[in-house]
Amino acid sequence: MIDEILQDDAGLYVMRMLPPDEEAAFEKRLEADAELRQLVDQLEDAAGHVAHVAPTVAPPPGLKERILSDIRHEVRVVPMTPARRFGWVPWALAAGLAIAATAFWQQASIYREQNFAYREQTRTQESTIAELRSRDALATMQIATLSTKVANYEKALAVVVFDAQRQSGTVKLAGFPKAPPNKDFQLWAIPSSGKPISAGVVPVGTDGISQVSFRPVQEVHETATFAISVEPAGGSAQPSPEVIFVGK
Amino acid sequence: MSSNGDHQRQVDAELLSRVAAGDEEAFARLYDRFSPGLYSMVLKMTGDDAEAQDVLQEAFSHIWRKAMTFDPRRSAAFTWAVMVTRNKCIDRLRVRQRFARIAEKAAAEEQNSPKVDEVSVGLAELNEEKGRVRAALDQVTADQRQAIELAFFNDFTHEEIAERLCTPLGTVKARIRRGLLKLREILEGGHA
Repeated sequence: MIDEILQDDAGLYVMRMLPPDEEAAFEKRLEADAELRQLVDQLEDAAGHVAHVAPTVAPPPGLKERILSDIRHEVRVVPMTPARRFGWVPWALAAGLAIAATAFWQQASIYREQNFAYREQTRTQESTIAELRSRDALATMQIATLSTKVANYEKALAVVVFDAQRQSGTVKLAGFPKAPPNKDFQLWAIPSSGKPISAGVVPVGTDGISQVSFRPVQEVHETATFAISVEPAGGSAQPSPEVIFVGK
Repeated sequence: MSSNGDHQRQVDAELLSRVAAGDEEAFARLYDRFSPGLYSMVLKMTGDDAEAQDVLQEAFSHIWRKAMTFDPRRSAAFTWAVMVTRNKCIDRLRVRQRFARIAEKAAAEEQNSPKVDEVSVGLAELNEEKGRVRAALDQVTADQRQAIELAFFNDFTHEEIAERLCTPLGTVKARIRRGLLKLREILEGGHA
């Protein structure tokens, strides 16, 4: 049974009337409390109907075309579905191994002098990736482990696996902090010509993990540098200066 | 809920599921069904036509990108879209810190808003749903309805609502929560 005060807070939360600190605390509690989640769902369901109180006004005729044009220019990342599992198994395997390799590499960088074992493990993982690269299934794939110098992302990992033949790839993130308010992480492919090509917005869950497929808005026919930047929600046509990860 | 309501809800959920798979045609149909209701809500909140268009554009862009996060077990597709759009609207208004001025303008201009062409796509269902919700809200107590509408269409804090209604803070919180649950109960039970 949820106490009355918390129930009232649920109403305020749905209406977005809680102060930011209380809202964050409430969301944390919401993640672990199924009964509270159910109450919030019920309240949201009711609140959604209140929109009908507004007098009906038709949106301007041109707005639909503007919105449709927007989405046509936006490459959306779609989470992988079970139906596509055979297609992404080797990719996921490669990305997973690459992430592991990156993790070991980072650790090795830090403890290079003290911990020889990490380097051994890194070499093992990297040789595994090299072996995977040589196999037919992965022969056309580029595996890029991205690195960062931004303090807030030092514990995060980002790996991109890209197949130039299919013009599609997978990006896998781990240990990512939540994107800043009204911001999204966006992936870019940067060919040697230097003009960044958007590969779409990458949503990151509350657990800091993400694995999504992508397709750049323009074709990329060479080994590209990949980068992740922080952009206004929904993504940008060109990357902002806030590039947090880069790698090839 | 009426069987027609159930059918509409199912159609919306199926469209949103196709949108999640990247189906542009489904997205265009969803726009036709949802945009009058969402635009009306945003226009009431902002009182500014250009602002309302921008918010709707942001909201539909979000719907396109995040359709896969919609869970039909938790809410109706339209409810989900309402909450997405309302959140976008509130974010925008807070960032610009000009809500108070716009709200005043909205109240003054509401009477002069152009009305919808009744033959537009999806409006028959929208108007039927509006009638059902208004009838349900009539069954919620006037105090609860007033608190809900003030909270929903304005970016007021609960303290501000308490002040406007000359009512203790705890009472305002309870009115919002109990009013919403009552509204849901009426709509679910088809009493409206």
